[in-house]
Amino acid sequence: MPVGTIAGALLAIVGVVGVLVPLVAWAERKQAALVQGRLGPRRTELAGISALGLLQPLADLLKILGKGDPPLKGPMARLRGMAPLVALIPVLSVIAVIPVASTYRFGDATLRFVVADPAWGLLYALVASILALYAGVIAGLTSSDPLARLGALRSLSHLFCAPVVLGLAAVSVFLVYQTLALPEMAQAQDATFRVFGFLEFLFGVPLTGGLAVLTWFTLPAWGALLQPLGFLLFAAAAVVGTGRAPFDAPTAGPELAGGHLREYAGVRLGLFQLADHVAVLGVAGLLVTVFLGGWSIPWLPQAHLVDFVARGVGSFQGFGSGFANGVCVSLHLICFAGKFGIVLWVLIALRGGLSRFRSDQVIALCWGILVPLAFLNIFMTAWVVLGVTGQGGN
Amino acid sequence: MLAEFTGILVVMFAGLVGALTVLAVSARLAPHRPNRRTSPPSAHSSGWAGPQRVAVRFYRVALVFVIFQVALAFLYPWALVFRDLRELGLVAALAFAGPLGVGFIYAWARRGLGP
Repeated sequence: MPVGTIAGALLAIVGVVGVLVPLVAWAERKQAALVQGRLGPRRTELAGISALGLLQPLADLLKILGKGDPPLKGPMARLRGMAPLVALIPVLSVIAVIPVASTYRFGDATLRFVVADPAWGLLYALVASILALYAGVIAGLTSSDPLARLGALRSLSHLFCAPVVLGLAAVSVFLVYQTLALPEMAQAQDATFRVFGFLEFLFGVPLTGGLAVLTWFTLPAWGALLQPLGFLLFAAAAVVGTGRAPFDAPTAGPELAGGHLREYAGVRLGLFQLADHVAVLGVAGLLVTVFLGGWSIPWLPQAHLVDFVARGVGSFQGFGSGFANGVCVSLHLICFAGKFGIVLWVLIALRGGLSRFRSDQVIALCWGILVPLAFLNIFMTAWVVLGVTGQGGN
Repeated sequence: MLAEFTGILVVMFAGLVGALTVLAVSARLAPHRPNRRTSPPSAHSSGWAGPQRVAVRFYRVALVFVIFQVALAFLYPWALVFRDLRELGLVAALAFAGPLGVGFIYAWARRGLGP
């Protein structure tokens, strides 16, 4: 088992840092170019093939490796040197708890698509992503540059409000799923619920006769549909947490010219940017897993799919259990990748589409609107859960 | 317990090794000719000026933040066992959040939550 875990962990890290991060870096530049009416990167070539500038991240890496990194001086130099690692390592570890597909049985062997499955997965992901926020504070406060210190203070003020919203939004999610483990959450969303089921609950009348038509309307039991407000709160707070546009006041170019990143250059700056890209991937993975059904295919639960392909229906003979599980794995991976790509694109597009929030606006937004809404959401959810479980099922 | 951590620790360790490798490679490849223009302290200051003094309101906001984070820590176990507690759980949570809400409204009205 440990061998499998280690192999999976290395595969995940290579896939994220080696494939997804360069893609995000490229998509980010292309998207910015699109918004600003430019062409974006397109001149990197390998054997005459430029492939829309897809090789640009590789060129960037080579450039960064060869860049001079002025030695950090002063009493805090060691701490400042470590700040990029503080930014990178926790966000990188978040990818370990995100399940990209379900659990499958091949004879006696069980195939799992998550690196680590602790009972406290979502809690760990929240803590790790918040821990990374401290890197900006460390980098800025140990800097000799006043603008960098201002950036650190802005980071600090975001740090004082975003985790509260994130944590409160997560509480309402726990109320629904009754678990902190991400694979179990994704599993719970591999189902449907009846859209008009609440009518039964409200009026105490079973939907029979002519009303039975209403029971045909089902929706996938995704977190975003059961917890629409929680989804929006979680997404907003998570974007504040990554310090990305439109909540990038700590590093705002026009005012602070990089903020806490001002005195970094070369590889250390590159590690900060890598951490930024990994953080986006982590947030997208969490949003998909917790709120958008994870790997699940809408209206097609895993058990039904495997059963159908393995045994068949009527004259259709079926292909056996192994083949069915293989089909299921592929479809689930494709489904996860599709949702993941869409969420990722929305997060990237936000950067070009929205203007920057001032730090005090972020605080006013978090404390004044999001925190009260999150509390309201928790108690509304608790009340509904109470009603639904009292009636027996949803 | 440790088995649950294995995957996370491996990812962390691999990330650390990768980052340190890149730093080491860059240290060998990159030119190392620091001069007055490229080296900190930058044009804006004359060096690290000791621990930064920040406005007292940061500590005030930090305290409110800590209070809410601690309250949050109590809400997690509550949320996980809520279906067993039922009505009692809802009442208890309201009793818990009530004083918190009063304090929150007071802090908000006195503009104690922002700069």
